[in-house]
Amino acid sequence: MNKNILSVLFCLCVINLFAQGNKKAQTKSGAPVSSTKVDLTAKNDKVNTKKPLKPMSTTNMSDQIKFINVNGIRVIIKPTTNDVVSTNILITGGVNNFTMDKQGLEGVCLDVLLDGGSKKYPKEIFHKTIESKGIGLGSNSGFDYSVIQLKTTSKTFNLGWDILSDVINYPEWNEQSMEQIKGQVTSGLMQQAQDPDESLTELVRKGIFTGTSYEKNPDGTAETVNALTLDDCKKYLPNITQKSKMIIVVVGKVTAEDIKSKVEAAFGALPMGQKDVFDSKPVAITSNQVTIEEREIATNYMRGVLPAAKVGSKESVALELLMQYWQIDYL
Amino acid sequence: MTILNTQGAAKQAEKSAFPLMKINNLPSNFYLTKLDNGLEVLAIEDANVPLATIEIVVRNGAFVQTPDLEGLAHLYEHMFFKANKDYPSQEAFLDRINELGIVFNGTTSNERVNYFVTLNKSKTKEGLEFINSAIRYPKFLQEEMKKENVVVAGEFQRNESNPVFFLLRDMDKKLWGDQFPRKNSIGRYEVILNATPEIMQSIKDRYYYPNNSMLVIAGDIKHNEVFENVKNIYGSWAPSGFSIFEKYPIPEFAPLKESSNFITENAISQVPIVMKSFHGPDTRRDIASTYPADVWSNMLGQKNSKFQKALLEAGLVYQVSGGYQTEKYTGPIQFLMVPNPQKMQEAMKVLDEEIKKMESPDYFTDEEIQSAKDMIEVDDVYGKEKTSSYVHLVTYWWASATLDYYSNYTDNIKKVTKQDIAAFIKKYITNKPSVTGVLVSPQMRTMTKLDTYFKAN
Repeated sequence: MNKNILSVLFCLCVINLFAQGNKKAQTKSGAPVSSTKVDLTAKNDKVNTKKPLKPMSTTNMSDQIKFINVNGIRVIIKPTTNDVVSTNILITGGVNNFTMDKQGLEGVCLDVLLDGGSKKYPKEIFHKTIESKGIGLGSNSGFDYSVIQLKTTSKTFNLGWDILSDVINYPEWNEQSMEQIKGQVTSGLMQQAQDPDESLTELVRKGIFTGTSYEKNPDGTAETVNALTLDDCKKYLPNITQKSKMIIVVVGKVTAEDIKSKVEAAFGALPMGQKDVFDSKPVAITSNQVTIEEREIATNYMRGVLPAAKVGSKESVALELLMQYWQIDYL
Repeated sequence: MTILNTQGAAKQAEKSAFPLMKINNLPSNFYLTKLDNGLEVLAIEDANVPLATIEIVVRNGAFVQTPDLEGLAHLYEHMFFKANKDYPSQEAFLDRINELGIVFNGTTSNERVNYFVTLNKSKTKEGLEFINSAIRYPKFLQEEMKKENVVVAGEFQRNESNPVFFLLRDMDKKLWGDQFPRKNSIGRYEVILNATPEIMQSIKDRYYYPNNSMLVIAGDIKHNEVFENVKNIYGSWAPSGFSIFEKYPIPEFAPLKESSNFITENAISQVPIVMKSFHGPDTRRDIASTYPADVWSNMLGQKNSKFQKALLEAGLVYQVSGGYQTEKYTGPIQFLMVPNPQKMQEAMKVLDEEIKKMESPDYFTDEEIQSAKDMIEVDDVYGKEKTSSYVHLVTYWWASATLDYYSNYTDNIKKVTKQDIAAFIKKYITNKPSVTGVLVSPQMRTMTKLDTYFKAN
């Protein structure tokens, strides 16, 4: 979830607003279209497929990607010639990791983790260092997993990695960070509520996932987030920083050997933990449902949902093609 | 054409069969040439993924809009994706998109309209032909226009469904006065719904020329091959034959005479938002100030800055930022704040106090200034990472400044001094008129007792 209200404004704003932290809209580099000054009038954003184009030949691509296991941690490395190194640490489990009354805990915990600094990099030095070196450090939490993102140039990768591993292994839990982030998250939730697209998504989610793990909102609710404490976060982090739950992906000017030794040094001592156990109850839409929320706005929003084929099945591939065909030919 | 005078440039010149335009510090994988009809062509070689992105950008957008054309730069952009001479219906157009496996889109902003496709590198030439058909030979069919008028109006309505839209619009009306249409890409309903093919043709006849456009081809391409194809496909595109912005001049935005306040009340708004704006520099009349403006913008976002500490760390706000938007015609300087509703009065007071304090040369430390410069430089590296997105950045700078500005940008940022920043603040912010607006729901307005400390005028 993006607690940053400016990302909501970015959808509308014709000016260059400068976001904080790791959603920095930068200055010139981040100018107009992408995330800062966003044109109010982007055409065909519904028609435009969000799926990446598949390359003609995948032979070279797959040769470049390396899958390794570092002492129980799954690691994927793609060496490139670009000067940017992107590292994602995926934490599996998603909403399955917490209970209904703790909705939003994982997102808040990671945000506080990445704001409070660490033993080696106390808060003020932490922020000064990452900002002055242009190191991007942030997190995002979704239904199936969270991701901690590190973005550096190849020159600052070692420093960025050192900061990241220190923060995960030796976090400094900061009460001021906790209160600030809770305020931002609840404010962000309220912003989402006023956005019709976001509200519609939430309405659909509640309608079809009641009784399943997906009934939980990874962003939480105002009530559950306000009730969270710093102690909750402290106790929660060890539950998710376990080798069985981590997948590390590194793309950039790196070598497999270097990444392997970094991962081993930084996370080799973490406990293995248990495999995720997911709620296997399938979503069952057994009858037609219509839910209406009245709102005094200029546009009506509608969404229809039906069960899809299981991801990875033969039918799911056919379904994806059908959806592409419908998008292009019927809009 | 003069050859670039760096070693990398000499290498470029040897390899290029086309004369290259002279721009200092252009990245070594950039190749820029110009056809006889004035079309600038930029090839960016990046073989990281086997794709090509082709973008054509036109100096058009809100800034050319008189009130009777308000929103039509955007409608025109929509009509690009409809029938043309070679694909005489939208169905034919979409069929071709399917055949080529194209991902496409276009955007309209204050000073630029761009159209872009990404496709497999093996189809680069076909992609160039496809864009050529659309940009040069649109049909503006009456029935397609009727449908599209409604679509564009629908986009307008989607924006209206979020209360923040009204805050931004009210701000722009106050900030730009009678010239508001020239900052209003989304337009007005009545203008959009009554647009005709004749009006679209008149826009084409004013602005859609090669000497008012740049074509960028980026990705896994070879510049000589691309230049050859572009010359063959676009070489016959006739230039305007007149100076477009002499014939259709853009008036200056009148400076603000005095400060003003407004309240945007909206029942759907869930949180209050405060916005404060000034008129800033632009790249025609005061390009030198745009660099300290950007350094200043970056410093405001630094977590350890006095600005963030006074507002965010103090618990007065959930979010606060400030910055300058680079434009060719008066870019705005804007502060945006999501206050803690319980502390809104104090948050607004402290915002004004911090802005006042910025007059002091000691408000920003040398360390903060250096950090800002370093961050901007790194951001430039990040910006280049994904070619298909990076192209939009390049065309933005071409439209709102120049490619020369862009290629020398980080060098100029590095030269910014504390005195430059102080001079920028003195010239554009200190004791200068501003517009302050608050978005609030009726309930929040009552709860925060807004009217006791903030008067709309």
